[in-house]
Amino acid sequence: MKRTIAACALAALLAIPALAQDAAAILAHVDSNEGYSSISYKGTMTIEYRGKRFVKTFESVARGRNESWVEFTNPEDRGTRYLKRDGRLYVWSPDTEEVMLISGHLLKESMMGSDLSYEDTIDSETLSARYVPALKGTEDVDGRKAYVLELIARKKTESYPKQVLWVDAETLSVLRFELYALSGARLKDYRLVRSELIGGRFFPVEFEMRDLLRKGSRTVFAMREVQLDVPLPDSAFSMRRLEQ
Amino acid sequence: MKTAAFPELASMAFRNLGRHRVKTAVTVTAVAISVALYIFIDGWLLGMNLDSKRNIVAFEAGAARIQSKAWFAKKDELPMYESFGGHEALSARLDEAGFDTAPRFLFEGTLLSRERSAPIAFIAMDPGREAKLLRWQDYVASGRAPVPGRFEIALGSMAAGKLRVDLPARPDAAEFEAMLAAAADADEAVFVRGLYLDAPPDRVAPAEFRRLKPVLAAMPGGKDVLRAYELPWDGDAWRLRKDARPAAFGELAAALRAAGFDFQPRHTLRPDASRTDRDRLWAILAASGRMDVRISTVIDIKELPARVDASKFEAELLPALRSDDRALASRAYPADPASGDRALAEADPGRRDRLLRAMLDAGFAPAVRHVNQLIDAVVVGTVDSPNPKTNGNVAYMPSDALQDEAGMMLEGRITELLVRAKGADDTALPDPGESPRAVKAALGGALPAGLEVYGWLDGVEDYIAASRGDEVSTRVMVGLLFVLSFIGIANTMLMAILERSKETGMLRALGMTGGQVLAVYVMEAAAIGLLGSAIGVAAGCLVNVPMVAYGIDYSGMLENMGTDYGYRVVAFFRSAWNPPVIAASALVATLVSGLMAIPPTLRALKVPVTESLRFE
Amino acid sequence: MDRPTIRRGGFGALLSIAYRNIWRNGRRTGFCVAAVAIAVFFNIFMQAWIEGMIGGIEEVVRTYDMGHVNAVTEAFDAEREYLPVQFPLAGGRDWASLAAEVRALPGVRAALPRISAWATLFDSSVKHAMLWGIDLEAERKVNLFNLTRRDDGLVEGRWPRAGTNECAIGTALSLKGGYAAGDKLPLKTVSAQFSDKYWNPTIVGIFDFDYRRFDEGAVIVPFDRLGRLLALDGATQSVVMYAEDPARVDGIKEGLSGLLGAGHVVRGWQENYWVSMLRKSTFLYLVVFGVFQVVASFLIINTILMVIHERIKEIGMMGALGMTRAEIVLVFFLEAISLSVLGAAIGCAVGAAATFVGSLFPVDLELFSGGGMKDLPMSGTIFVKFTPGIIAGGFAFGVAVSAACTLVPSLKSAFIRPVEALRR
Repeated sequence: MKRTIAACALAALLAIPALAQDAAAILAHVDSNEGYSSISYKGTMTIEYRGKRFVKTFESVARGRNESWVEFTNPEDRGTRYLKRDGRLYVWSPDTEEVMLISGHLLKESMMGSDLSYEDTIDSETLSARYVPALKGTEDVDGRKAYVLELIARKKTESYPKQVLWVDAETLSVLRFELYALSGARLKDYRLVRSELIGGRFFPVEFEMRDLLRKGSRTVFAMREVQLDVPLPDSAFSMRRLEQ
Repeated sequence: MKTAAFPELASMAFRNLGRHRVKTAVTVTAVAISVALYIFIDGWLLGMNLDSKRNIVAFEAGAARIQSKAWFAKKDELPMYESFGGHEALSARLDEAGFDTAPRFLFEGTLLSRERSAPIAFIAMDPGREAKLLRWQDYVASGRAPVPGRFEIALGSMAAGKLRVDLPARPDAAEFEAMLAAAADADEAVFVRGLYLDAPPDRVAPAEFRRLKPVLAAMPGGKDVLRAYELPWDGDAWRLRKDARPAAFGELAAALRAAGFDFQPRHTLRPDASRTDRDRLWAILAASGRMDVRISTVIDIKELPARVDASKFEAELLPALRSDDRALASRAYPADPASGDRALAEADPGRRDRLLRAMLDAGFAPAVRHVNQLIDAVVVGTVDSPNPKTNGNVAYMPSDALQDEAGMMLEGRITELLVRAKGADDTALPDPGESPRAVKAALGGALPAGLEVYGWLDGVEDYIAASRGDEVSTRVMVGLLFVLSFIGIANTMLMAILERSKETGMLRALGMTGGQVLAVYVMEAAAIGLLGSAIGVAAGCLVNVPMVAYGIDYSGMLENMGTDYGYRVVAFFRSAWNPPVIAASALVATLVSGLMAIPPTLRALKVPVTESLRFE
Repeated sequence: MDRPTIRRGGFGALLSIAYRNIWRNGRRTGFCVAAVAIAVFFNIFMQAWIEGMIGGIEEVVRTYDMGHVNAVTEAFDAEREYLPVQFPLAGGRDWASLAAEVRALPGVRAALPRISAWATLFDSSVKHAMLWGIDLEAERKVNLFNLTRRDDGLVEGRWPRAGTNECAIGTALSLKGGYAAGDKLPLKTVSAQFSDKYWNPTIVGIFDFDYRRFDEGAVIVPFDRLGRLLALDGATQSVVMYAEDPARVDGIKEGLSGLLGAGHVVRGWQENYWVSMLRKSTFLYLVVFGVFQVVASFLIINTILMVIHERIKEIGMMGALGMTRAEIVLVFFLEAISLSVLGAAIGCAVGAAATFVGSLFPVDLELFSGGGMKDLPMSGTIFVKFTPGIIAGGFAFGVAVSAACTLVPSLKSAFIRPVEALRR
């Protein structure tokens, strides 16, 4: 089902010239591309900061935009688990053996010393719901043709009032994106390192984030053993699992 | 004798003073010391407090400020979402009533320079209106004040130093190279080089200094080096004197090296560089991008969340609200039949405002939205005023540049409106006509609900704490000294009266009344007090002259304390003149001295005349 | 005048004359004694107060900040305000093995590891606090945290046990954040590996530290547990050393520097700015005490002058009876001294009593300041210092100043010619 929708959208994009309404279609596709019904993977997060490297590994499952589960497996953080559900972010750590709710000012802090804040990860609304896209033409990204989409927030109170996306014209996967401050200054960069064809779509399995305000810092996420749209039991996102 | 008039009694009293000149002199000295010390200490305390208070008014607060009550309640967090609009109407009204006003918007952020970053408190202001009632723009040490409409910053000098966005006073070799590289052409490079001197180290450890002393003393020119250094009273190292001649720096450095002191060569900005030269250097460094900075901040905006997750609504919001607000919230956010999530459906602005207020008061986080903001700006000057608060991690920016999305999306909103009477004297503290009550009265009913006028001392608790502590302890000390000198007078009078028992009896026998005798002795004692006071006042004033003019240097303390020590004075504690207290201390000393004669006289008067005549 | 049993002109005789003379006018003597007593009392009390204040600051510096000798890495020192945990001592060497060497340095009484790290608190009106990881058992053998009550400061519950998820917080933090013993204190901190660490230690104790900064902002946790949480692998961020003799720490400093190698900052407690500044400024107070004593001595001066005047006939008599001038001067001088000794003794007694009481009951500084100045490393209370040194010093100072002041007027008696005096 999903696959056919993707195919149709792809066909539609290739068939007609780029117009304003196409921007919405591309963004809708990006949303749907990332809006898999479920995912499970093993991940590696490599943080480079001040010339030092810190590697974290984890296993994750997610269902829709609202439910996700991450459990760290590297020696230092082994057993630390995050659960996102009901619009909230919970954490269980072996240091406390207790579930804690991350909220308020804590959400603004950097996640695991990475270039992402918790706030960056918690947004559950689709891009289409939050932004009005405009197609700014095409550009070449690492030898691939990409649509350049400029996203302007529907409401002025959006965390990042502007985003720019480079969407692969062929696969419709996001090759790059940039997050902007209200002033139009760039704050964060995303760059796709590698994507894989999984379940008939190109899925980003390795990408890099940079917080431009932190000098000499970048975070690389890599996923392996990615499985999309596999049925996951409710228990995978239960508070009970978090507490186990 | 019966009709002895006051002048006669007085002259009798004064002549008695001369009977034991040494004794009188000693007693007078005691009073004089007490009075002088009191005048000195009072002047000292007053100087610090007066300067602090003046500096609070002239650099921080004005006479009164209008803030929202919600902002004031959370003032430690600088909650920018508790700002208010429509201040122009208030300003216009206050203008008519004879007040100057300055609107300000305070926010926090991180200032990123090329090399470093630091948390800074930003003050968005209107330079023109600010200049009417605040004085920091007169204390731009390097560079200039920011100009309206531009993304320009005047930065506290200490923060500027830490962030390396100022004129480098003592650049190391690498930094100096970078500065020369910043010069656009050879001329500029020569100019930059000319502004810096090869200087001796600004501090030498005591052990090192002890070692160098004999070597230097024996060397030609070495004595100049020894003279160029001093050990400050509160210092942990020998410092290069501030008045050391820059022209001699090269020789001093050479002599130190010759004496075997191995120190890193440091280029030092000529202390005698002219304003024009400094401005040119600033321009050269600014052109190289050294003064370019970025402000990273988050714009906090209060807003009713469009959607609230079902469980969050039930578990977080409702329990935190008062019961009537709870009903309001439940009505405003009907549950979505499918997901159970709550979506905002309230359209009535009044109810929306009330609900938002209730959510904020309950500390419900989703009611404050955070928008990331990054602003490019340039530091155009550093502030180094007599109020340390302006010299720390503080940045001044023109608010008109920050009104829209390129700035802080202020849209006319401010967090405070400073108020001061037009033409108020900088050296005068706010008078009752500038009190919050008077400002409120001038506004009539124009002050919107939710806003409040606060006085200039509201919000400077740190200063009040510091000054109160010193006040009590010092005054108690001087009070004790007064007690000592009064005992001295009592003792002197006791002896005098005892000694003159026979004479007193004689006088009484000749018909002088008890009251007249008492008057003579009281006047004698008061005369001692008066003489002592006169000398004390003179001495106290004499000491006060240099204390008012120069003060005591405590810049070493400042380096170790940062800018948070309560008092709002920088580098020098200066005394002040306090004529009422000077007059009062003299008067009180005279009066109390007079009173000291009463008990022994009364005792002497109780003795029958016949008996006192027999006194031996 | 002399009793035959006393050897004429002997010091004892003169002293007894002088002493008996001061009682010829009880009230006058009373005033003199009172004045000297007030000055001596003031001297003793102020000195005890200042000593107490400086002692308090030194004690805060030594207890909370740096011990007698403190070592951190240069990288930590450069970013001290952020309390980075990425720069452990000695390149991350295990504390247990390092401790053995450090403790073996000569003159070391104790060497304690400490880790400080910032933590973000969950859902609290207090947003940040400092985790203070210390070896509680070892600390408590060396340090008294509550400098007012002279105890470890615990007011409720118990101290966290080593290795457990337990913490203790200050009364001010518990009040501000609404925490009670038995509650959890959910928090987040960042480890040496830049991992977010969520921790939820149980508050097992509430302490009352009179150093406001710690009472308000410190969360005491077991050193080993915090080290593990922060992925320090048994290393420590800093070490505070306590010397057998706090006055002599140079040897320990040198030894420690050598042991830790390059890249470390080793400081002695006297290098603390406040400690050195206050020590240097005490001479100002000596000047003030001097003024007090001199003003008090004025009374004695006057009294002696009067007495000489009064007893001019007696002086003539004494001279006629064969007393030498020196003896006469000595009588008056001794009379002055007797007055000052008497006053000083009373001042001392009262001063001793007052400082003794003051040393038992701390003075709450908030009374004066309303609780401002948090930046001074100072406990909230001052213990007036009660030591024989200050009291004896006050006595000696009082008598010495008075003696110096009264010597000149006593000499006046020497210039009285007996024959003339007898004629008056």
